[in-house]
Amino acid sequence: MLGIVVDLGYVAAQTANALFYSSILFLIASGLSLIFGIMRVLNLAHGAFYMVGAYVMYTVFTRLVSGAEVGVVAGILAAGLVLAAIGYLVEVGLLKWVYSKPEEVQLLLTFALILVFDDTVKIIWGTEYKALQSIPWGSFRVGEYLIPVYYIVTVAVAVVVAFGLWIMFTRTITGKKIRAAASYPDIAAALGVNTRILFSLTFALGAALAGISGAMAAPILTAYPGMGTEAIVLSFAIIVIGGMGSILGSFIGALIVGFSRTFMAIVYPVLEIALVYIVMALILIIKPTGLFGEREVERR
Amino acid sequence: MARIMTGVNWLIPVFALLAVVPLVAGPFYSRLVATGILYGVAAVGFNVLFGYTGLLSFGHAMFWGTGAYVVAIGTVKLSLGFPQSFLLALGVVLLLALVTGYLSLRHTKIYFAMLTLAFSQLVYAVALKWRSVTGADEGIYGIPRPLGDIEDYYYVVLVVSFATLFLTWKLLRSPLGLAFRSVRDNPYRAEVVGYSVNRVRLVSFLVSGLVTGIAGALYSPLQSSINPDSLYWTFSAAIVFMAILGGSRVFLGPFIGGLVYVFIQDIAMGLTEYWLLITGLILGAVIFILPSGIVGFIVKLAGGDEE
Amino acid sequence: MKPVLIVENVRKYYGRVAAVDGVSLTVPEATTIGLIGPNGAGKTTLLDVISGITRPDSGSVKLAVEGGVVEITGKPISVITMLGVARAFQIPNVFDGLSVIDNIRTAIIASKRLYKSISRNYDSLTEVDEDAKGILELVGLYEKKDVKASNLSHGERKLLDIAIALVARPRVLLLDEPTSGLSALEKGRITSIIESLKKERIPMLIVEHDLDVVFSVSDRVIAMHEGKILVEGDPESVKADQRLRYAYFGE
Repeated sequence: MLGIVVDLGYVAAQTANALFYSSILFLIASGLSLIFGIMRVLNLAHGAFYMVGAYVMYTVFTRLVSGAEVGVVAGILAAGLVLAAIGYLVEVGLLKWVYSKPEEVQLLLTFALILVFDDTVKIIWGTEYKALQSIPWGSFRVGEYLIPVYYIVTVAVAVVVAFGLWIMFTRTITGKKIRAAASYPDIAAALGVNTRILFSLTFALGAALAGISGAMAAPILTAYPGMGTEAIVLSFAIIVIGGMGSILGSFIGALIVGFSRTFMAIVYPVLEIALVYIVMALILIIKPTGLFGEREVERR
Repeated sequence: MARIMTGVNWLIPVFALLAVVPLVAGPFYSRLVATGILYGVAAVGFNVLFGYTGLLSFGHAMFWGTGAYVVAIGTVKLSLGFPQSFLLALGVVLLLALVTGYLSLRHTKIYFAMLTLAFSQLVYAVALKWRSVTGADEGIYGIPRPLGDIEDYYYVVLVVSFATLFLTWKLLRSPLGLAFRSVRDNPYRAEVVGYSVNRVRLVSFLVSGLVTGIAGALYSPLQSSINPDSLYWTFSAAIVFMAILGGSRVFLGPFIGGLVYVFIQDIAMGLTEYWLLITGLILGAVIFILPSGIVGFIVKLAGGDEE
Repeated sequence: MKPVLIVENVRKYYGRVAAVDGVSLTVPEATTIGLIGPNGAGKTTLLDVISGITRPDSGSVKLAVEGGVVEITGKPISVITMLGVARAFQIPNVFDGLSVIDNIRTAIIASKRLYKSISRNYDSLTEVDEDAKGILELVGLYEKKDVKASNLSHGERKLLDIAIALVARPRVLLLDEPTSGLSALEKGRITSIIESLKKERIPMLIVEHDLDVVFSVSDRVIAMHEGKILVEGDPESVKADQRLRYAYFGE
């Protein structure tokens, strides 16, 4: 590497890649972190929500709406809504019955959901990879490399979502209620805060974020069965690195994972995936609350 | 009653029943049942840590997969015999368990589970990328099977598996096994009566990893191939499923869980190509209908006590 | 009399609040010391420091063993236990999933380091079971030896907790509110157990709210208030001391 003259266009293109990938990861991980931070549930099915979001985008883009830009915007909104609905139903229909059970029960139930979602997706959309025919908004040139404008859009969405979540949880009454309900569920209930509905809404919001993430990923990464199983375990790495329950932590964690994977793949591909888990393990050993975790999160 | 239902006495009839399989069934079912036996042993290994010591590992695929890979590498790449490769596999698995156990046991509960997940994904990443040794995503093919035929190798699987189960049972019935259960029930009190809780947990982690590793080391010659899927986190989750399916508070529960899991897969695959869907639905149903697992449920029905 | 346990100038702060504020005391051999004081006086924190559960900010705890006195401050809990400091808890702290006798067996196995004999069954160690029988008979739980600890009553769990603490023939026994939450009948049983331990010359440090129990079983009584020792002496003199009324009632 040292002997090679640094090609600025190449570096810019790879940085854009890494930023896009980090944005997608942030959108999934923020939902997972939100759900864990508020509800203390580790939702393995979160990756499946991401996958379903990608398929919703594929269908809206290719079948329902003509025109690339409109199709993408419609696909993102549709994925958010569909997954919010799915998330709500999963919380009300299944998860709420296992809150009082040990964590392995929650893990297994959400694992069962992965299996169900993976095959349901195959039944509806088949087993082959689904690619969108075009990427909207074209691309611009840096040196001899083309960078899709879509990357910039994705990064912008991630930043807006991050900012929105931050505002919501620090500046609004609903957000404060949710955080209070998370910290002191009994007191919140006694004071008349309806934790039941707050939990359902939190889970729906988290699922919607995963759906939006999948929808934004589909134009570049395609949609395929099983795409959620890798996404979920990377999301775990991100929220562990950043600190479970912290939005800022998810943001920084996603950047760390996104950049280390993108550049490791070029510099030393053997460690491309391994590096993420080395960082995850090191953080857990040294500072289990993660870079931005507020407090020790020992369950019940 | 409890002892009869769940104890070592049941190893003998189960062994006898399983010994008949290759005589009455063809190679297909022999392979299937052998796979079930090995899944079962892997789940029993997991349960030493989970059911008996109270620690949820979410990375046991690393011991299974490492056992399987080392035997594959030993026999195919290093041209060692099966027995040498097998012993090598046990050594590597123990070393892996020592390092990952020492580091993971700095925490308990969810952080412990996350650490074991991180380590197993690390091992997976190595297997996926280290092409010259592991064959990367294609894995390793043409692993020689001792004794050749499936029906003959079946007995190697059966005998080694049941020897492992018997020794595991003996260990869990020993004073050390009582120490495991004490640490599970009340680690704080265990420390105050004089156990070094961390050391007890580490020993349990070693035993647990080793037993699962033994099963994995027998698995790759059975299939004659191995690929990184055997190290992926979804297989760790499957091991947790098997243990809960059979019943984590009964010694043979996870073993039966492993056997049943293989048959659920086989029957679901025969019914539809969407067998994961069926598996998922059954898993969901078990959580709600049989929270103490199949064997746990039977033990309760028979009026016995668990453990 | 020769001191067995020596606590020297122990301080423990939680934030800016002093839970224990410079306490020194000794437990001599074959002596029962009652430790009293209102809630928040620092009694349980002091026991936690002695048994290694809480690290003090300053001060030291020493234990007399064969051939000398060892400092135990800062040592791991299990090491302090193995050196001979036994502890029973205010809220029964037992192994819920194990039967009564297995609770005792595991404590004996830990204290005699029998966990290394992995070739034997834990329930066929005759020497362990003889000891276990003796201890369970002492606390009156032998008839219930096969009952799961989670199925015992509060009082029985309390007795089991004390029984667990007794297995090692401790150099010093720390009892934290042995009679709290018990019926009059059960209190009587605890008192008679303490009396029989006194006959066996086991040194004890007993934190207790029931002053009748304290004054009847203790050789010396120490009253704590706001982290400090307020009054110390034989039961009669402490009972008569006006400062004690002040600590409890602010009079």
